[in-house]
Amino acid sequence: MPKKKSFNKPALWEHILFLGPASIIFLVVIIIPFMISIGYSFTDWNGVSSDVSFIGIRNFADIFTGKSNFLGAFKFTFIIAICNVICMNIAGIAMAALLTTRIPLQSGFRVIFYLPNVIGGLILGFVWQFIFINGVPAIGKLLNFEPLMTPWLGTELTAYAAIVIVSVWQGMGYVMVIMIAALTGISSELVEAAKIDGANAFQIFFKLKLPLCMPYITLCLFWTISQAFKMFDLNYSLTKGGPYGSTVSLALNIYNDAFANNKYGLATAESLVFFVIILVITSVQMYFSRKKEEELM
Amino acid sequence: MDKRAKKQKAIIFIIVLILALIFIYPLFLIVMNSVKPLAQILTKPLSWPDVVQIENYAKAFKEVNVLHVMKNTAILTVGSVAGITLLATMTAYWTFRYKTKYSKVFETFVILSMLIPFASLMLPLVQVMKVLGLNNSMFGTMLTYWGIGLAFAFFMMQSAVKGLPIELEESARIDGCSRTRIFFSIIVPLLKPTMVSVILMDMFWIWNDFMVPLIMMNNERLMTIQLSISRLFGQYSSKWDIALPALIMTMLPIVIVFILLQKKIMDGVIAGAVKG
Repeated sequence: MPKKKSFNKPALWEHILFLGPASIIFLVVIIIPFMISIGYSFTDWNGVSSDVSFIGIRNFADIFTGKSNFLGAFKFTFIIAICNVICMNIAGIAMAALLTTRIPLQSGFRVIFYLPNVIGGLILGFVWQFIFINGVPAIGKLLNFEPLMTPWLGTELTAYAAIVIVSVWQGMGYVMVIMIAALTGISSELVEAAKIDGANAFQIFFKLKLPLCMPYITLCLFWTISQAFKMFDLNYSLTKGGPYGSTVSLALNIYNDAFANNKYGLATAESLVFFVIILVITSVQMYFSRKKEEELM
Repeated sequence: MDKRAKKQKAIIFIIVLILALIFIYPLFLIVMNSVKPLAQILTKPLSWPDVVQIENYAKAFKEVNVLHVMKNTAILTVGSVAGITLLATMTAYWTFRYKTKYSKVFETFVILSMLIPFASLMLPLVQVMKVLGLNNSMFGTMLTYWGIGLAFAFFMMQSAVKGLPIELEESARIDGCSRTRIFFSIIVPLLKPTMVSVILMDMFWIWNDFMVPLIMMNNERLMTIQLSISRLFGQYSSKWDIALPALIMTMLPIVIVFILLQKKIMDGVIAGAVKG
């Protein structure tokens, strides 16, 4: 069947037309920089001068022995990730549960709770800087409630809390939208059957609906984890890493080391360790989502 | 029973309403304070403005050069999104329909690239762009987005490509239609709904992105919204009478687009989460 064969075998120029441009861009933007990154991670280059010397694995040794700021940034990012994952998912799932009860103005509420998600982290960081510096203390005075009157971005613990509050406020809408889709996808026959068997609303929600939504919940869990680990904009604008460098995220730390502290070699080594961390998270996620793929579709 | 259900619904409605008001209150505070004189912002941030000082907006508009930075952000976003969508559609279709050894290698690299965060590429990327003469340029920044945005769009498109009927293409081939024409006049129209999802999601990402422009465009002429806001706060850290109107003006376009296209956007979010 000659016709069939020619259908399956395009000419070389057609292959080049369809895959060539993307391949070149890929090479320039991803593959070459990644290779260079590996190369520089074994040097002490400061990013400006022309002398670059090979120092073996000293950058990596500095990272893991705590001589660089990496471990501090990791601790911060890890704590934020845990707090975010818990708060964002509980808030998002609760909101999804409330918004699937057929109350009036449903889609209006959905828009309100999703709104912060479409505004960039940088701008929201500055918005909340105003709220924490001027708004919250004023509310504290109004209610005569001492804890609210402290400078929120000025102490370590409250700065952590501020970042969690803003990230949950921003990211909760995402979990909510996914979970609304999940909850409305559950067949009403199952729910009716449970009702006939005498299950109350709480039992139906926790013992029937949530387990059925499990694939979507895993999806939200991983989204929130990787969002937290990649944090940069919000961190940059809300606290700038302060007070005293206690709230520097992994990505911000890499940026600071390369562009502010002139430790380019160290920064590339840190960026590779960061890559491995994200790699682990994403691989676990891919493993889970591949397993759950059939359930989701 | 019916009465009880109604009462329950009313209670839930009131709870949600209160939560929504608390949720939106920070943004409301920003809007309210944006028209006050600085002294009143600092002393009475919670009260209604005594005088509405619209000049704040005029000052901020000039200070941030709003039209200019919005134009830059729009050009960057449109160029980047168009490139990502076109490249992803072409490659997703081609690697699925015409499998070769190379297409499999290509696909593997795209999958692997999803694992690399931008922070791990950004430092040498600046050097590569310098060598190519593309640093501090709009095109270099677009190129960066094409590269890092390809993987997600590729996956979205691939799941759509898998559902295409091959019969249509076969009969078009028999009629003497070239593969390129088949792609542009038969495949692209069929893939439009997924392309729209990709466009919407990447549009929000790039419009709001700060990291890539921060690294790639150190140039007054090319200032994006995010860069100019960041610079504004660096210069006038407590001049809230200029900063707040500037924040609102820069938030406005994306918020309006979101409200107009809310249904499509949320559908896109769900599709992207499940397939991406």
